Amino acid sequence: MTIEGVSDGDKYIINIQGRFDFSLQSEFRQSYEKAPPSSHFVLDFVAADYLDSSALGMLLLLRDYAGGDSANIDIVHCRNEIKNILEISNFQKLFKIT
Amino acid sequence: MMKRIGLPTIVSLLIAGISWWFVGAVPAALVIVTALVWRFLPPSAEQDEQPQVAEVVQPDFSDNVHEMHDEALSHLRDQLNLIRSESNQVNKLVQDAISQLTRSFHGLNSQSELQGQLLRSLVSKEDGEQSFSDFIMETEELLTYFVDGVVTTSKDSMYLMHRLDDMSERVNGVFSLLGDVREIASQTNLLALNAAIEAARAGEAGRGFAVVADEVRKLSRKSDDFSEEINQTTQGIKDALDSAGEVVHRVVSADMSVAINSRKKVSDMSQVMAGLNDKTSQVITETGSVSEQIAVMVNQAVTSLQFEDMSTQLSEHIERRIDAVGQLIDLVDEAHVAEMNKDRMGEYRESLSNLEASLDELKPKIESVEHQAVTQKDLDSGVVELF
Repeated sequence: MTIEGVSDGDKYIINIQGRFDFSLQSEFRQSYEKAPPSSHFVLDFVAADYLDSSALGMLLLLRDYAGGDSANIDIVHCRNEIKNILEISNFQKLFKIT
Repeated sequence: MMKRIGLPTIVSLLIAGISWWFVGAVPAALVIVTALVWRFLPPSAEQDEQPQVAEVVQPDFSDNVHEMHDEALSHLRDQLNLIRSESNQVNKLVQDAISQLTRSFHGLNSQSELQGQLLRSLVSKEDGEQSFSDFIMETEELLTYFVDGVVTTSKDSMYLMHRLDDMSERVNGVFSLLGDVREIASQTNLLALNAAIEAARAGEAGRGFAVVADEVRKLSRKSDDFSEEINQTTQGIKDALDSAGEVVHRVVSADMSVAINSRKKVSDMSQVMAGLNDKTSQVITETGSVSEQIAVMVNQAVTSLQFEDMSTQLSEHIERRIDAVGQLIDLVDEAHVAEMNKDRMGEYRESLSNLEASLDELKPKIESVEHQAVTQKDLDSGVVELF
């Protein structure tokens, strides 16, 4: 299990491990669709070491699921390479990245 | 008498020449005038004490003294002419040199300005020309456009992938339903078999029922075959969905590190170019101030070269002094002639008074030259505005 969704109070925490790529698409979708769209999503990248463009598409679909511009999504514990990719894609305007 | 008159006159002339050379014309003229006046005053009682001695030596020395006097005067005039021509030569040389120097300095100035213009033209941006920073900016915009395209494509593809997954899910539902259909067919087949057995047991009376049971059995087999066909077709759909999913997988899985590396290279290049631009502008600014300094120095040099005017005026003064000295020599000569013809005292006195008048006439001229030379003798003391 490389993706794990856990409810923590008012937050819904999704842990992602290893490579975040196309192979996780179905698993990732299932993990967030378990939570109601209005949830405060927290994506924990502490154990993620790679991210490709399909992951960017998945994150955008999660954002749409969570209400688009009104979505409440944090991306936490990014290592530098992942942070660079998110920033070059201008994701810092769509997500709270730390 | 001739000896006493001639020698002091020549000595006075020499003293006058030396003092003219070192001090100026006025003292020299005064020395000469003093000597002349002293010599040509009407004979006093003191002078009459030894008239015989003078009369006795006159025949022996007067010719020699005349020759010496004429020779000295002729040399003096030659020297004066030489001084005049050499002074003119010096003047001409100075003028030529100065005009050439002035041209050279102006040339230096314009070359330095040209150099500055050329340097500035290296970095100045003409219409339609693209600067390095524009190029960098456009490259970054292109990169952003590329990344945006990748992200948008990725989102759409992942959306498509979700829909494909949904379809797969439904296809799986079809398989499940087909299983139910096959189950029904199998049970129908079993029922038809039981009906056929029961019909056989009934014998002749069940013959018609046996036919019906056989038909039902055929129908159940057909149903089974039909559901198998649906199964295969649906499997085809599932395979097609899977291969579409694989295509999406390929499309959507771009390695973003390429974009990251490109962005880093562009940003590095941008910094290098910015540094280069700064360096270039700095050099051009410095060159500009160097050109300005050169212009200032050239102007100073050209201003300094205006001493040509001073030297021209000074050499005019020299010429006037030479003229004055020439006139002084003429006066001395006239005095000498008058003294020679002292028998004709009237003419002698007339010459003397002419001489005095000429001296008086000459005096302001000499003094004016003297005055001007004093005001212009210093080149550095801000007297340039005199010109």
